[in-house]
Amino acid sequence: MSLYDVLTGPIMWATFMLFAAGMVFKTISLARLASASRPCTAFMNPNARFTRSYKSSLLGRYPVTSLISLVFHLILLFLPLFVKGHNIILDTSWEISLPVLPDDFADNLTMICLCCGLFFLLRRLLTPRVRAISSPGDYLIIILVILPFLTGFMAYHRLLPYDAMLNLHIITGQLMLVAMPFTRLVHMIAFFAVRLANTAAMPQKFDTTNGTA
Amino acid sequence: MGLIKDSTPKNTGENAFITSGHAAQKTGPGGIKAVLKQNAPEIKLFFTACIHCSYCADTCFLQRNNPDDPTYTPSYKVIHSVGKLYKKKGKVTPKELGEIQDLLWVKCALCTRCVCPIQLNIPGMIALGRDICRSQGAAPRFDGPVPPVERASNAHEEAR
Repeated sequence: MSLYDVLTGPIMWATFMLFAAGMVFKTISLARLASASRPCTAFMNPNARFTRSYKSSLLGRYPVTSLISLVFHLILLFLPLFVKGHNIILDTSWEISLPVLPDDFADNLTMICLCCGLFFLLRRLLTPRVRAISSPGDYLIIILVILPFLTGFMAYHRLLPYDAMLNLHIITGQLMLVAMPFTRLVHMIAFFAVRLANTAAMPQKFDTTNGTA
Repeated sequence: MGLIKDSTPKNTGENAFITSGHAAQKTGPGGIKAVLKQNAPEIKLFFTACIHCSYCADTCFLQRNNPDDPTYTPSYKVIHSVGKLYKKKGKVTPKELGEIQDLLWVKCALCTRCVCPIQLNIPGMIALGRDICRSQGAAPRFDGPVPPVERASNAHEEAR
């Protein structure tokens, strides 16, 4: 049994099960933390006033970063679904497939994605206010996300031995999937849940005792 | 200036912080662990959610006016005060405590202008950090407890 067979067999199943179980576990544990904490202390700032003018919004103040972030995330989410290699595997295994993008287009998108990832890594390394709050995990997570695309790119172009690159591509992709519920990557999903929560629905305590307890 | 007893001749702010004395309630040995444990859900929730994006930096007046000093970034202030206290379980050196007090009381005016893209309550966490420090008697001179009953103008004289 070759490494490839092991990776695409039992380890692939383990990855998806860990991913699903991890997501469920994290949802429950975050909900429990939220219910155990005093309302509007850590989350849901009741004083938050989001601006209504474009030029002081995130997109207005940081147009380049916002645009690169949008492109990066779109490619990250959708390119793996519509790339030829993945759909061939899906088709041979389960006889289902999605529409496939042409090879050179997918290739260009991968290169754009890699450049965007590099931009974020450099931003984190070189911008002082971001570097000041970055921990080693912040750098590692960017590298972890770039690696599947990098190894896939190198495998496709045969830049290094194909079999090794393919196995690395599978391993790094699985690592990224498993890391998703247990690292900050979960916020790609959690973000929407939080934004949908309504501040007005939370009980807010204002101290009206004037210090006279 | 007769209202304020014990006022130091040089009010430069260097000696504004006290780390002991009657102007705060101590919770006894090992007390900070209990305080941290009491606030653990909020702290853990904040630090699970903060993705270190630094977009809060732009919303802080002090950060905008000190662009070369990244320590004014609101998330920096929370991470290196509350986060440090929580990670070290309260066992911080006096120098670190000084830095934490600096972050919480000098570098933050608690104006609540800071906004987080995922609506984390940064002023809430700064207030929490101040609460934790206060509970251990590590609060600034002017940040003593409010007298529970009297509201007379000489109340702060009594407290001193």
